[in-house]
Amino acid sequence: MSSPDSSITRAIPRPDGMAKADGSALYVADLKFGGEAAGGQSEFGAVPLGTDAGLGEVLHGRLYRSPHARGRILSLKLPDCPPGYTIVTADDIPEGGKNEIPMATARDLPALARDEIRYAGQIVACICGPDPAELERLHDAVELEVAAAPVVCSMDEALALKGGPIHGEDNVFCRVDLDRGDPDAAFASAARVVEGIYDTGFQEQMYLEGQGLIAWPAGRDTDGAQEAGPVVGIRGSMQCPYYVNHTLHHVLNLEKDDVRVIQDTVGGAFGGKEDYPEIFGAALALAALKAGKPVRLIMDREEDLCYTSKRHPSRTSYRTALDAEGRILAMDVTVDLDGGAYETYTRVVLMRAVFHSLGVYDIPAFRIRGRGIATNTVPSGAFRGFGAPQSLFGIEMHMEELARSVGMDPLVFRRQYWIEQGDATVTGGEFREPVILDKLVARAEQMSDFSGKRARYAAVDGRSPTDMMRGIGISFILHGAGFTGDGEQKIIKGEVALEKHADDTVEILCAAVDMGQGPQTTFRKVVGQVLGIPAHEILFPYPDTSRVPDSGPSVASRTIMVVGYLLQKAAEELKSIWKSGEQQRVDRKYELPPDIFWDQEKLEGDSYGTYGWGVNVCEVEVDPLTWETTVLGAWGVYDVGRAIDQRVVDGQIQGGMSQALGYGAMEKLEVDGNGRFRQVAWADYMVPTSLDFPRTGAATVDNPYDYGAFGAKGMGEMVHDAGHAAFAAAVEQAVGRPCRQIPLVPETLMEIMQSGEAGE
Amino acid sequence: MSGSATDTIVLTVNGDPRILKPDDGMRRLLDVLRDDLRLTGTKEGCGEGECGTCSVLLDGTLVNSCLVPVAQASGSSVLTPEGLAATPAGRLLAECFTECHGAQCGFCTPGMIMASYALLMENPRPDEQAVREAISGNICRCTGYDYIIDAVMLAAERGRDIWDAR
Repeated sequence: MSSPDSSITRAIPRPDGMAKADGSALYVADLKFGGEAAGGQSEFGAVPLGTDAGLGEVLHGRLYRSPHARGRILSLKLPDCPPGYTIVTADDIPEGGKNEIPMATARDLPALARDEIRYAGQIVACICGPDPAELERLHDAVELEVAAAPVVCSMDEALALKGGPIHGEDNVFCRVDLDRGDPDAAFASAARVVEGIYDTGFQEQMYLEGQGLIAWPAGRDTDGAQEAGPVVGIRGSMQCPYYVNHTLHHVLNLEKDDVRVIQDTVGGAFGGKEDYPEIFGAALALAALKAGKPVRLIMDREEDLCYTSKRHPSRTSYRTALDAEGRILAMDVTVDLDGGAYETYTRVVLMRAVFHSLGVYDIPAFRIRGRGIATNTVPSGAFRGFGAPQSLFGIEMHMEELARSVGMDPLVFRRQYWIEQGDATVTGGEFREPVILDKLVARAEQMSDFSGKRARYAAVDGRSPTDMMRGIGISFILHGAGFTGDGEQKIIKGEVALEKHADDTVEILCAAVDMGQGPQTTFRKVVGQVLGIPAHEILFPYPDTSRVPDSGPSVASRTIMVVGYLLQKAAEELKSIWKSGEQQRVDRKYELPPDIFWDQEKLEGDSYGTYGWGVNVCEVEVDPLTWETTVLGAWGVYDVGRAIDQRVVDGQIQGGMSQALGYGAMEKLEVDGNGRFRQVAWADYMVPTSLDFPRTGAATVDNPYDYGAFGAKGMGEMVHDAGHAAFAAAVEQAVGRPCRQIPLVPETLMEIMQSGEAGE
Repeated sequence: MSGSATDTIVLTVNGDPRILKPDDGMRRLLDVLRDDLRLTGTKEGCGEGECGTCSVLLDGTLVNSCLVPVAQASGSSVLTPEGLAATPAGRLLAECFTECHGAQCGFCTPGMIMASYALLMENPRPDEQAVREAISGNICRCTGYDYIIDAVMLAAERGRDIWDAR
C-alpha cells in the first residue's frame, strides 16, 4: 500500500536476476583458475558476475576438528606431510598475532584450539594439498588427546555446573538487566499473578550454498621481496568483508591494507555467514601463507550442518501482576540464551533479546534479567532476528495466556498496552516517530478476517473427536533497526563513496553484500533516483576491501536504512557538483541522527535509532489423530518506513514468513549426549518445501523515516520475528491447550495434548 | 546401466558428444559437469538428493545429478542450465524469474528453472498446485516460493507458443 507518488517503490526486474537464472553468476565453488575466461556479461552490462580468480594451481583445504567435546588438550600428534601438503595449528600463528576471533564484544573463541576443547568440532588444525583423498588420509592420522570432562548439553546442565564450570564460576557469559518502577510493590498488591515459561530450539540457517572461501598468498611477503600490495587475499561467500579483514589482520599480525577480502556471489546467509567466514577463514589464510599457494575450502553439507553457528535456543519466563480488573501492573521476566561453548556474539544477541522482550507493549513496571549461558555445543551465532524471534515468542505467547486468564479477546487485550509515539522505550529512550499499529492491524484484518474467524472458531462446539480442529492467531513485532546500542556511532562508523568516472557512469563503493536480500537492486534505485539515471546503469561491483570503504557489515537490518541513506546523501552531493566528462568522487560518513543518546555502561537511552513494526496472522488446521498441523493462511503487514522496491520487500516478507513458520512448525534441531547435533544431513532437518505452506499475504503501510534512504527503515529481520508466535497462538486456539514451546512438531503437540493441562 | 567397467562412456551434454574414461563410471554426473566440463551452472546444495539444486534433465527427465553415477548417463542426453539458457524457453524462464523476483540469492535458481522447464514441457497450462508439486523437490530458502510460482505461471502464459510447439 505505497503512496502513489513514491515511484521508487515500484518494482523493477532484479539487476542480478539474469546472471543467477542462467547459471552464469559465479559462486566461490564455481571460480575458475588458470586464466580461464570470466563469466559472461548480462544484458544490463553493469552486473558483477564474479570474476576469474586467476590464481593458478589451487589446493584443497580440510579442517581437523576435535572429536572430543570437552577437556584440556594433553597432546596433538600430526602426521608427516608428503611434499606438497601442509598442516597448520595454533603454533603457526605468527609472533604478534593473536589466537582469537575478535568479535564486537568478545574475543574468547580461539582461531585454532591450543589448550582446551570446549565443543565437538572445534577447529584444531587446517590441512591443505592437491589431492582430497590424501587430505582425508592425513586428517584421519591426526591424534588429539584430551583429559575428557563431562559434557554440558543444555542450559539446565550448565546452571547445575555439571563437570564444573566451563566459563567463569557460574557458566554465565554475560548478563543484561533492565528495571522500571517498583515491580515488587506491584506484585505485593496484585489481585492475581499469571506465569508462563516459553522455549525455543536451535534453528539452522540452511542457506542453499554451503560455507566456502579461497585464501591465497597475495604477493608481498613480510621480508619485503615485494613492497606494495596485500600480503594475503581471501574471497568467497560472506556477509561482512570487513569482519573477515579485521580478523585476518588481528590473527596474522598484519595491517588492514595487508589483507584483501573479496565477496563472491553469496548463495544465502541469513546471519550464518556473519561470523563463520572469519572463524574458519583465519585457519585457512594461515594454511595458504604456509603452503605458499591458494587454498580453497568448500564445506559439504554435513560439515556445515554439524559445526557452523545456529540460532540461540532460549527459555523465557514471564510473571505478570494483574489488578482486580485484569489490568497489567508489572512484569518479572527472565531471558536465558544458550550461547554454546564460547561467548562470541552472545552478549549482543542477548541485548537484542532483552530489549525486545516486552514487544510492542508499554508495561508500567518491570524487572528483566537476561543471561547468556555456556554449554559444550557449537557456539551459537547470528540468525535473522538475532534474539528478537526468541523473546517476541515469549511475550506474544504470554499475552495470549494473559488474555485467556482474564477472558478477553487476544487482540482487544493487547491493544490496551500498545506503545504510542512519545512513550519511553524499555531502556529509557523515546519512540520518536509515529507508531501506526492501528493501521497495520486494520490492513491485516481486511486481508485475513482475523477477528471474524477468531470468533467463529471459538464458537465451534459439539465437535466430534475426529473432526479437524481450527484456529487463528495473531502476533506483533517491533524490531530495532541498525546496530544495538552505540554500535553504529562507536564501532561501525560506516563510510561509503560514489565514484563518477570520466564517461559519466556512476559506481557505488561500499561493503554491503547482496546475499539475496536485494541491495544490488535497491542501492542502484536509490542512487539512480537521485541522479536521474536508470537503476540498471549504476555500477555496483561486489565489495573488495582493497577498493571500497568500510560501510559496515550486512547485518542488523541496517543495510538499506543506514548504508542506503549514506548513498542517497552522497548522490545528492554528487548531483550538486556534477561536471560532465570529469572524474569525481564523493565520500560520506555516518552521522548520528539528532537527539539520539546511549549510555553503554548503564544500558540507558535509545538502544536503536528507530523501529520497524509489524503484525502477523496465521490460520491453522490440526488433525486430532496425527497432531499434524496444516497452515491454511499466513499474513504479514509491516511498517518498513517506505518500500524501496515492493517486490524486494514483499519477497522478504514471504521468505521470512516461510522461515518463521518452519521455525514454529517443523525445524527441529537437537543435541546428543556429546553436545553434537543429531540432525546432520539435509534429510534430517526439515525446511519448508513448496508444498508445506500457502502464499503469504504481504503488505506494507508507508511511514517514512527521516534518516533512511527515501524514508526506508530496516526490515530484513522482523519478517522472521513472530510468524512462529502467530502459528503457535493459532494452534493453541485449535487444540484448546497452551503451547509454550516450538517447534510444534506432531510428537510435541501429542505430548502437550496428553499432558493433561487444560486450557484456561 | 549401459556401460560396463571396460566400456567407454559417451554422453551428450547440451548437444555436444562427450567421451569419458571408463574408470570414471562411478563418479557423480554433477562432478563431471562441474569439474571436467566447467558447467558450473549446476550447483551442489546437499549432495544427497534432497535439495534439487543440482537438477538437470537426463533424456528429458528431471534428475538430481548428485545421485547419478556418470556410467548411468552413458548413451544419454543431458541438458544443463547452460544448455537450457541458450534456448528461447530457457531465456524466457530466466526473464520471468528476474522480473518476478523469483531469484534472490540465486543458488537454487538454475535447478528451479530446470524443474520449471520439465513441468512446462509436460503440462503447458499448469495451475498453482501443479507448479507447487513440480518444484517440490527443489528447495528455496529465500523466497517462500511465492514469486517462483509467479515466475513459472508468467512463463507459462508468456511462452504459450514455445510450450505448445514442444
